[in-house]
Amino acid sequence: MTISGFLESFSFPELLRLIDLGSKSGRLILQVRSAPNNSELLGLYHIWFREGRLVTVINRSNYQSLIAQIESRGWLSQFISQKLKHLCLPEIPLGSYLEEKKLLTEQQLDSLFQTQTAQVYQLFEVPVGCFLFHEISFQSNSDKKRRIPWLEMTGKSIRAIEISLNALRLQQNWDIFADQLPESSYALTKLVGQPYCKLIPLEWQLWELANGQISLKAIAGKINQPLLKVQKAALSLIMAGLVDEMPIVYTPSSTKYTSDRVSRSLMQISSSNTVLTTTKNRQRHQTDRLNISFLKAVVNFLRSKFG
Amino acid sequence: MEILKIGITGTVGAGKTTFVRAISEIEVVDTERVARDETALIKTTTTVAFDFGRLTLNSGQILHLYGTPGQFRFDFMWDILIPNVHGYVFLVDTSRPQNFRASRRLLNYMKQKTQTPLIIGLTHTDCQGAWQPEDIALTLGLVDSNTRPPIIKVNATNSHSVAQCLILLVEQLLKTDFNVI
Repeated sequence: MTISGFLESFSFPELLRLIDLGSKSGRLILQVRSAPNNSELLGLYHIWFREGRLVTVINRSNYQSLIAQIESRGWLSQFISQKLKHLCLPEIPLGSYLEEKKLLTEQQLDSLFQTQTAQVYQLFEVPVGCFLFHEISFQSNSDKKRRIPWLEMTGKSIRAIEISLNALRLQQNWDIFADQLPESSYALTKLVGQPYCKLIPLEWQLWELANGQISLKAIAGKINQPLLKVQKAALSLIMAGLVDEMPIVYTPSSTKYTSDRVSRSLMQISSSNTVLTTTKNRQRHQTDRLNISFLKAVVNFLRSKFG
Repeated sequence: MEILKIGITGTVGAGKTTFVRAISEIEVVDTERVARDETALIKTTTTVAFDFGRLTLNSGQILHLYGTPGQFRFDFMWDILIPNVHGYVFLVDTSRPQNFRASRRLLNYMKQKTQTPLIIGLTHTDCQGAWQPEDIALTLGLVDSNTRPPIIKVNATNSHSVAQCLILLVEQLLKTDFNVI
């Protein structure tokens, strides 16, 4: 299965959230066609995910293999590096293999993985590009398995939505996400019981106030922070899959009364158009109850007339 | 007189007006106006109040269809229409990822405003680049497949397909006790 589109219409954080929440495995090909602030970002990226977690990044335009990176840091001799290039790993990441053989430490692998993920953080600055995600199983015995780049993997991984959270905290150019910022009149609601990672103080304040009842504007006032800053932090939490934006439902009141009157009038207009409205019908609105037999009759009618 | 009121909602260009027109027995009472904002990039006219269609089962039983506007600036019409229907179809154009964000916002809006049963109708599924139902569900925030509303592909120009969609919604109403006696 594939997913394709343009970053202009479906942003990178949205894509990462989709991959994470869907626990997807496979390769995301991202072509950066415009990077006004950093032309070095232009090119083709292959980003690999396993069950919603990023496992490696390969910059096809400025390719430096994981082995070359290890070699350039002087962590392995050229002799061993050459051997590794022809090694047929038994479907485990190169990093895990080297750690198991005591050739690299966990800290060294962390450092290598950070170098890989740093490229992804930069991609949040990219406004224009196209993407194609191929689902590829890491478990199946299909031929596609051969394409999995075990030699480019450190054995480390990070949740796709955690990347978004980290990247958006560092984001400088918010123009890219301006139309994604949540409405100031909307509230936040929690999507999970507890955050899966450590939140910074502002995010934590938003998390605690994410009860579906307080607008972002009110939150900004309550915690004495600029609204825009609150909206940015809220977007980070939304893209991290922790909260969602929701309109606030006002229950009381004259507004509802007016709305009900208007709605009844409109429904009557449509009904009177059918010349079938009765006085009793005019008095009924959202509390109308339906008979099961009527619903079954509708199903039969639709089947017979349009089946 | 028994009247089953069904809402058809979704973002701009999802196929709401087409859906109602495909199955209504009467000339749809519409409020189409020339689109003058960004909607004009998608289509020439847009619904500004609502579309009304009807199907008569017999002299005592009728089905009403109410198509809502798709633009957020007409959200007052959503508030008026959706809480007053017995169930609604939420249409998503699967070939327009640029509308998924708005679809998610609109769906959140609807779910927050009413507990009315709904189903998700996926349109334009035969278009190039159309996304799969599972991916659409995730973009709409419907992560748990056990609790999400039913999802069906629908060709809004085809009366048979539209009828299948409506049948699924009515079956959903039968499964719930919401407004059913």
